[in-house]
Amino acid sequence: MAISVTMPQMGESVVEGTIEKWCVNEGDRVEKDQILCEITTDKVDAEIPAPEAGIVSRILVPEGQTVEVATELAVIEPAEVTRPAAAATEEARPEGSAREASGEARTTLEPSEAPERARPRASPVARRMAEEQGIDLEGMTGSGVAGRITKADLLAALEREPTPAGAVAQARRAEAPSKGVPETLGEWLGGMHLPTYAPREGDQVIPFSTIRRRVAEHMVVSKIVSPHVGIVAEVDLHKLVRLREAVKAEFKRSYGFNLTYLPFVVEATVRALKEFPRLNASVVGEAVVERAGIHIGVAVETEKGLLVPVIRDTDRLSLIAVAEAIEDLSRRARQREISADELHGGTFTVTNPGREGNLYGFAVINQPQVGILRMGELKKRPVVVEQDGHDAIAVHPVMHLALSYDHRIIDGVTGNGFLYRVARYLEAAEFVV
Amino acid sequence: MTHGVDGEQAMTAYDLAIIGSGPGGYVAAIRAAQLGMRVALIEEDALGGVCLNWGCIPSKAILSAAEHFDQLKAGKVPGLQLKGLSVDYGAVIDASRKAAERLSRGVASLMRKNQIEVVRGRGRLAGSGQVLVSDGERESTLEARNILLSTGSRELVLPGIEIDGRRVLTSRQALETRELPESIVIVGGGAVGLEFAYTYAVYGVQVTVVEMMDQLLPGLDRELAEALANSFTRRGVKIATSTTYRGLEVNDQGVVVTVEGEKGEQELRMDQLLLAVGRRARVEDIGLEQAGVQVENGFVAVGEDYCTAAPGIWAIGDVIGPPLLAHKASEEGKAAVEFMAGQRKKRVDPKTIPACIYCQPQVASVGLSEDEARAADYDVRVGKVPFVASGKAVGTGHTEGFVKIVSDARYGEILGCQAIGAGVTELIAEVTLAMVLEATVREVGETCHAHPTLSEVILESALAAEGRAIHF
Ligand SMILES: Cc1cc2nc3c(=O)[nH]c(=O)nc-3n(C[C@H](O)[C@H](O)[C@H](O)COP(=O)(O)OP(=O)(O)OC[C@H]3O[C@@H](n4cnc5c(N)ncnc54)[C@H](O)[C@@H]3O)c2cc1C
Repeated sequence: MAISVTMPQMGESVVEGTIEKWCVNEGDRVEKDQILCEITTDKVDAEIPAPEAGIVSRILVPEGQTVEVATELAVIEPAEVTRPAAAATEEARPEGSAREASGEARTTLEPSEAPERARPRASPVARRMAEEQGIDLEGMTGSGVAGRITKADLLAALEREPTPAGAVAQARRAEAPSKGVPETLGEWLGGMHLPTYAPREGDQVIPFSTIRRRVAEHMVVSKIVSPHVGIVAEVDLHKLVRLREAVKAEFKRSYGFNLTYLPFVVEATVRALKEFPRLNASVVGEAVVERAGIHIGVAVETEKGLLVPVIRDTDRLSLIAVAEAIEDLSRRARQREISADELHGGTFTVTNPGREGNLYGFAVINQPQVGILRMGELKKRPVVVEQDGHDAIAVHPVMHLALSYDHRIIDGVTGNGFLYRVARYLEAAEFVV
Repeated sequence: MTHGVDGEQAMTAYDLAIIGSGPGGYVAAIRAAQLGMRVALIEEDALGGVCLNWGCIPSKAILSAAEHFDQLKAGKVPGLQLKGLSVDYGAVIDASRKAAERLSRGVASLMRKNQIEVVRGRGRLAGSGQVLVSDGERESTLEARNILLSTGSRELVLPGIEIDGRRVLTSRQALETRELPESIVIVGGGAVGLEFAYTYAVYGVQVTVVEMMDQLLPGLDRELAEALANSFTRRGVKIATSTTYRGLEVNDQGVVVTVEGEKGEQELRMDQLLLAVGRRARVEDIGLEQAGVQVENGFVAVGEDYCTAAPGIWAIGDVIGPPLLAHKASEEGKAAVEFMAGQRKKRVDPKTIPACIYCQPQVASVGLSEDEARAADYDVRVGKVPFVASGKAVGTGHTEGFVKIVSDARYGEILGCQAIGAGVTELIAEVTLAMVLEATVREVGETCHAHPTLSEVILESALAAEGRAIHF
C-alpha cells in the first residue's frame, strides 16, 4: 500500500509549513529515515524523513509552497513493490490521489470547519492527535460507538507504527527547553495562579461596568507592556499662583468657568514635549514612532470610571483655548456625552487627581503612549529662596509633579530632562492669559 | 410479591440470578431482561437496596427540606419576612421514608413490567450454578446459567463501638431518628458525614466533624475540600481534621468521645455520636469461598469483565469496591450483563464516574484533579471560574464556590472537573459527557449555553482553560 507523507504539526500553534527544498525526486529510491525534504514554519525548521524504504512515486507540493498541516506532500511506494518508477506513478496511486493531483490538496481541517462528508467519525481528541502525529484517519475504523475513532485507537495505532510526523513532533518537543517551561509571556502568565477568593456573608458583589472592565484591562496590559519608571520634581509655583490670582476673577467673568492650574501644566508639558519628542511617541513593534502632532489627554474621573478625553492639536492652541477645551471635554465626559473619537489619539497624558492629602503618585501609562504626568497637591511649604544674595526661607505654594515613563525607549537622561523643562516652564510662569 | 418458588427444593432454571436488588442489581436485571434473559432477582430486604431505602434517596429528601429551611432562615429570599420559623424534624423524616417507600414500590413495578421474577429471601451460592434462597421458613434452590452478586455494603463500625440507635448511630439509624440532638459529634468527614453535618447545622444542632485525614473528603481535590471546610466553619460547624477517634463512653447525659489531634487528646461531650467512617462489602455468609470467588481487601475480586474467579459468577456495585456510588453500581450492572451477552468490550471507565456531595454548597468531581493530572505528567491547564462571575449566580444569591476544569495543554483534552457551589451536582453531567465523547475544552467553549444559567460557568471554565474566559 502506498504511504503518504504529510505536513507534520510541529507544536500547538503551527498551522502551516513551507517546503524549503526537496532532497529527492519523483522516482527516486529512498531508505527508511532518509531525508525527503526540508520544511520551515514560523516557529521551527525541520526535515521530514521517509517513513519507510521505497520509491518516491509522487511529489505533490512544489518547493516554496506553503500548505496547511496534514496536507499530503508526497507518496512513497514501499520497497517490495518491484516495478519501474514510471509505472508506479501511473498505477499505484492511492485512492483519491487523482483528486489531489488535480490540485485539491487533502487537508485535515479544524473540527468546526471541516466539511461533514469528508470526515471519518473521530472524537475531537483523536482528531487533534491525528493532526499532530500526521495520521490519516480516512479508512480507519475505531472502537467507539458505530466505529468512532477514539484516543485509545490512535494510541494503539501509534504503538504499532510510529509516524514520521510523530517523530518530528517528538523531536521538536524534546528540543523545547523542558516541559512546563513557558516560551511566551502569555503562556507564562496563563500558568499563574490567582489567590482564591473566599466569599463571606454580606460581601457586596458589584459587577464591572463596561468602562471599569476596559480600564481594568488597560491598566494590567500597560503594566505588563511598559516597564514604568517614576520620577518626581518639586515645583515652586508662587509666580504662577500670583499670575492666576491676578487674572482669575476677570477670567471667570469673560469665560464663565474657573481657571484651574491644569491648563498651565498642559501648556508647560506641550512646550517641553516639543523639546523632547521622544516623550511624544509610541512603540510599534520594534520601532519608536515619534508622533507628528501633540494631542494631550486629560484624565477625568466620572461616575462610571476613568475617561481620558483628548485635546486635539494642543500645541496649536492658546492657553485659553486649552482651558476651554478641558472645561468642555471634562463636562461632557462626566455627562457621558463624549464621543469615542474624542477619547482616542492622545500622544501624552496629564492627570490631576485633584484631591487633598496627595504629595505625589505615579500614574499608569495610557497605552500606546510612553509617558504620563501626574499633578500632586498644591500646598504652601517652606522653600529656600535667594534674597539680596542671601539664602532665606520663604513660604511658597509648591506642587510635586510625577512623571511615569516607558523605560523601553526613554532613558533616565531624557526622562529627567523633560520633567525638568516642564517644572522650569511652570516656575517661570510666562504664560499669556 | 411474585414468588417464583413453589415449595422446598423446587428448581427453576434462569438465565441469570441476581443476589441483591440495589441500584446495581435491579438495573442489571432490567438490562438483562431487555437482552431477552430470564431473570430472578433475590432480595432479603426492601427492593432498591441501600440507595433507595437507606442511602441516596432518603438522605436527599432530608437535605432538600434542610435546604429550604436554610434559605428561609438565612433571609436569602428577598423581601420574605418570617417570624418564628421552626421545624418539625419528625415530619421531615416521615417524608423521607415515604419517598423511599414510593421508589421501592416503583422498583417492584419495574420488575413486573420487565417480567423479572422477584424472589424474597436470603440468597447463598450453592455450587454448580445454583443459589439457595431461604426466607426463614422455606428454602428453595434456583438454577441459573449466570449469577450476579450485587449484595452491596453495610456501615463500617469501629471496634469497641456499640450502635445503640439512641446515643450512638450510623447513617442507618440517623435516617430514622425523628428527634434532633442538641449536639452531635460526627466521626468521618466523607460524603455521608458531611451531608448529615449540613442538615444538623441548618437545624441549629451544634456539630463537630472529626476526620482522621488532613482534609475533608479525602481523595478529592484539596481546594474543594478547603472551600467546603470554610463554608461549614462559617456556618458554625466545628471541623477537626488530622484528628483520630480514640474511644467512646456512653452515659446518661450523652456521649464522651475521645479524639486525638495535633494538640493531643481531647474529650468531646455531646448528645450523640454519628459514625460515618465508611462501608464494608457484604461478602460474609453467601458461600463465596466454596464457590471459588475470591475476596481481596474485603471486596469481591473481579476481572475487567466483572467476572469473578469462579466462571459464571459475576459481581458489581459496592461489593466489588470503591467508589461506593449508586450510579457506579448501576453502570457496572448494565456492563456486566452486556459482557455476559457478549455485547460489550470495555468496562465502565472509572475516570468518567462523577462523585457528588449534596450538602450546600454542593460538591461535584469527575476525572482527574489538578494534582492527579500533574502527577500523571500532563501539561496541565486549569480553567477556574468562581460563581461570582455568573450573572445567574449573583441574581439568585448563589455566589459561593467555583468550577475548575482540568485539561491537557497538548490536545485540549478534558481530564477532569471539580466544582463546588449551588447546582454543581447537575452541572457535572455536561463535563462527564464531554469527557466520554473525548471533547476538548474547545468544543465545550464553542457550545452555546443559555443565559442566564449556572451552566455558563462551565462554558467560562472551558474558555478559561485556554485563557479566553469572557466574564472572568
Ligand atoms: C446515607 C447514605 C447516602 C448515600 N448517598 C449516595 C448518593 O447520594 N449518591 C450515590 O451515588 N451513592 C450514595 N450512597 C451510596 C449508595 O447507596 C451505594 O453505593 C449503592 O446503594 C450501592 O448499590 P449496590 O447495588 O451495590 O448495593 P446496595 O444498595 O447496598 O444493595 C444491596 C442489596 O442487596 C441485598 N442483599 C445483600 N446480601 C443479600 C443476600 N445474601 N441475599 C439477598 N439479598 C441480599 C441487600 O439487602 C440490599 O438491598 C449513599 C449511601 C449512604 C449510606
